[in-house]
Amino acid sequence: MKNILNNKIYPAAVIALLGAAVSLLVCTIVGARGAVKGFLPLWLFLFFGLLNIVLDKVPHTARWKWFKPVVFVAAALVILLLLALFRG
Amino acid sequence: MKTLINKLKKFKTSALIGLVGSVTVTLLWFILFGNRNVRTLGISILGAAVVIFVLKIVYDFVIEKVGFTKKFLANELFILFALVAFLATTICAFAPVMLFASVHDERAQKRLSAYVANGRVEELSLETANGTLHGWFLHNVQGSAPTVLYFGGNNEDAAGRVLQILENENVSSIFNGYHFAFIDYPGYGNSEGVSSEESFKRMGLSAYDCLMNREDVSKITLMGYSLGTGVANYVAGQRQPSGLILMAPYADGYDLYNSYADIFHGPLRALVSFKMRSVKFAQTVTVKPLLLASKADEEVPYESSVRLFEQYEKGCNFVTIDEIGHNDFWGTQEVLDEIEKYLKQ
Repeated sequence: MKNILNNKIYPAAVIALLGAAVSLLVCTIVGARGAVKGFLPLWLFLFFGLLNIVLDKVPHTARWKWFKPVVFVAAALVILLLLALFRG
Repeated sequence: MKTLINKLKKFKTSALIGLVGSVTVTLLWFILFGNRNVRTLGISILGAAVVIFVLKIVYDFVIEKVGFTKKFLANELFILFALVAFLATTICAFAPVMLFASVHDERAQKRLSAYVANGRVEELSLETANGTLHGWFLHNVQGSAPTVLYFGGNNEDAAGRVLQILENENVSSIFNGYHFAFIDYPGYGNSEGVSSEESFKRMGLSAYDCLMNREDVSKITLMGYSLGTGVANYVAGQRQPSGLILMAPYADGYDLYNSYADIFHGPLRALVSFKMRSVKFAQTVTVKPLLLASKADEEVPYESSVRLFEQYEKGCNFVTIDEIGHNDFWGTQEVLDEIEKYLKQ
């Protein structure tokens, strides 16, 4: 199972995610207004990547398995709420 | 060395999590908070990602038995295929987002409603098979009169334009003796429906036929600006208007796409979904139109307007306006003078 995950699913996921990320970035650069919304996929990539690094250093992550996923979901919801509020 | 490998593994994991978070939130932003075209774009990119994901897994199972060198080449080929697939999907789904920037000027609408009471302005409502279309009719004269039916550009809605004509004497004077009608495209203003080439063409014909059935409309001069020139030209080719005025006209959708990114040639022309072949429609137009174009137009290439003017059987009044930008036509006196001269003929 681990073999299939590493050799098949992981590379397929990376290609699909990279392709989607680049497409979305091109769309926001061309279509959205301002540097924040224009490069939003890039800012989100940096934000979630850094958040993961920070959470790995926090003791709660080792203590509770659910801690990291909950923080990520909460962060995503807050960002979506901000995007809804600043829709213009 | 072991520390470096661990750090690289953590970096790889963080990068992957960053990618997942970025794609998920951006897709949700498109799908939950975008308009219909943006939602379609988000779903198209998601669909492409799922298809590529599944295809890659199947592809790997199929090439499993192949030797190392060929496997490497096969992977490179798949990555190239995935790039092309994402590019094609993005272009096809993104084009309507750029082309159809629907507008709804509620403030202009409220202000126009104040003129309805004195009969100067009438709100139009057309029932069609694809939903109700809304627009405005400016009564410039008493009783029956020729009427200008206007098809606006991208980012233009009926309420805003009609209000501008009503409140700007310099602009309204060019339409002396004419009523003026502007119906919002499907998906624009209060008009129902989805913006597309087909829905715009249907809307154009419906608007023309509806106005011709009115007792206060004796004949119709079609007028188009930018995106609307294709619609005006199409309707002019299908009906018998008394005149045709086109501001910043384009020859076809390929020219519009190439003005954004000059790549839509050869096989990439297949990615152009908004074709609006104005050059073809021009061949059946039965009047001599007025075409107004600028060499400094940054959105519709001047050469595209020239390519269009060569197609009219009855000839064409082609006027080059010096050094005005794409959004300056309505504010340029020379343009207004040419329109007034044409309408008085």
